[in-house]
Amino acid sequence: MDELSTNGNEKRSLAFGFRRKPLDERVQEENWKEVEAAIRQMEVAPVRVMKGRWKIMVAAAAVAALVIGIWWVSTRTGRPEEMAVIKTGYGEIKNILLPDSSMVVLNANSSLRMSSSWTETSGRQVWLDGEGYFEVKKKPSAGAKFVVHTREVDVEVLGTKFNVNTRRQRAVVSLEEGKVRLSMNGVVTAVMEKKAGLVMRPGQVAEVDEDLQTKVNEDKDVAARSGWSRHEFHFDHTSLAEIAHLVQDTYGYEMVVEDSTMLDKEISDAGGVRVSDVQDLVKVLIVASGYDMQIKDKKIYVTKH
Amino acid sequence: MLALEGDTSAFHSIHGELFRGLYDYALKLLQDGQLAEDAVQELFVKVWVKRAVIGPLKKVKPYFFTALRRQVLNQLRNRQSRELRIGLLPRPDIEFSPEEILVRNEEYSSLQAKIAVVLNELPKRQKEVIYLHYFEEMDYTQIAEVMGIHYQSVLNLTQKALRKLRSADLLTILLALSALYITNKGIR
Repeated sequence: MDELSTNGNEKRSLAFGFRRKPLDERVQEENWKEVEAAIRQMEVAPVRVMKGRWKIMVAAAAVAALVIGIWWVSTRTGRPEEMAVIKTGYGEIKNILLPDSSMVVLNANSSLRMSSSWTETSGRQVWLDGEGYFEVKKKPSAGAKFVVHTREVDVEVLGTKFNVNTRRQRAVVSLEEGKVRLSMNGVVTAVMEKKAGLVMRPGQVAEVDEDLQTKVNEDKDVAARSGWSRHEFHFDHTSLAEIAHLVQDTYGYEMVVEDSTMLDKEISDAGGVRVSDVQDLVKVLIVASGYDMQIKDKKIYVTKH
Repeated sequence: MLALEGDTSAFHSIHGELFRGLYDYALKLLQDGQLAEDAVQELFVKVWVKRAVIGPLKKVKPYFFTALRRQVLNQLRNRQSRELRIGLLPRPDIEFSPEEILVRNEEYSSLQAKIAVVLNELPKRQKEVIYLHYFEEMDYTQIAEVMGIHYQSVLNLTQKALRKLRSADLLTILLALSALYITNKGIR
């Protein structure tokens, strides 16, 4: 008989034995959760390495950005119990291939959930928190609509490529191509009725705030809004305050200025800045702003020269 | 249709059975709790991808430990060659801490630290054999598989380790280890 199976770490005949140091049970639970999430993600996203071709597709694609609250609370009935979750950390972007061959690029610090029983009949539904760019495959059958749920608004895709983002207590949907319909959650606003919703046209940007107030504008450079999915930032008279939000949302770095008027400084670039990480971005910002910036302990200290 | 297609419940129970041992082993090798957690997580995900978990736990356990050891050593080597620019293969270096030593006789409880010192002075491979045998409760066959060495080598390393431990000139340790030695001889 195998002596090892008989008696834990304490071997009675020894004058000393070994024991494990205590470990919080949660470490094991958390570890399993992470494993499970990674496994599920792989089941959802069998193709994740598509970098080359993907950029081209994205470049041609339409963009919608929805900015919403920190978490989504789905009060909808029929929300599936088993959810597959894909998450990204700060500075991380993931490409996800959905079962219907639709694609999602999930921006940093975001999560995408979907039912684990996604079928043609139940419809194609995902829940987004953060920011995502979507390229949805058209389905011929009538019941096969694709819906991105967020806290305040549902984006129903009528066949298109688009991008959804749920940050900073507001939603911005920017559409380059195709058609989407926006439906507010819960409240029927003066602007639109839940049933009919707002059908967006390419080139439009819809912004929905916490109170579900909606503004629709035209943006001639709507593609710039999906720049992040190509690791590009686009600044067009963008204030340092907005950039500070962006840096916080994308990389988790806080921007600290020595004087609040500095936040009004507007930064523009010619055609987009390609950066791979926060260090790169800061280098660009130093040149573009004329300010000095130092990174220390997840903070960016901005000073005048 | 997606996501939960595979059976994660069996996999979950394997994780439950093996997590603590794997985590502690990774912790011994990496000396960093977060890195150890990440290593175990990565291991399970990799195994899942390969769908390699088959057979009873007795077989599965050394499989996981072997894979973990290889993964962690690769990690250490990559880190080494990046930071220090040296190409040497790292040898796992296990360190025992006094809290991990259990002295049965209360009279000797102050000797935990001394026992740990004696253990830590053993050569790396001897420490690893001792660790896997007494801590992770593996038999010699399993240890041979995990460390990638012959069964006979495991026996030799164990004998050498015990001989050195016995020669330590602390009476209590002598007592302790003679008991250990006898137990060990009793088992095949």
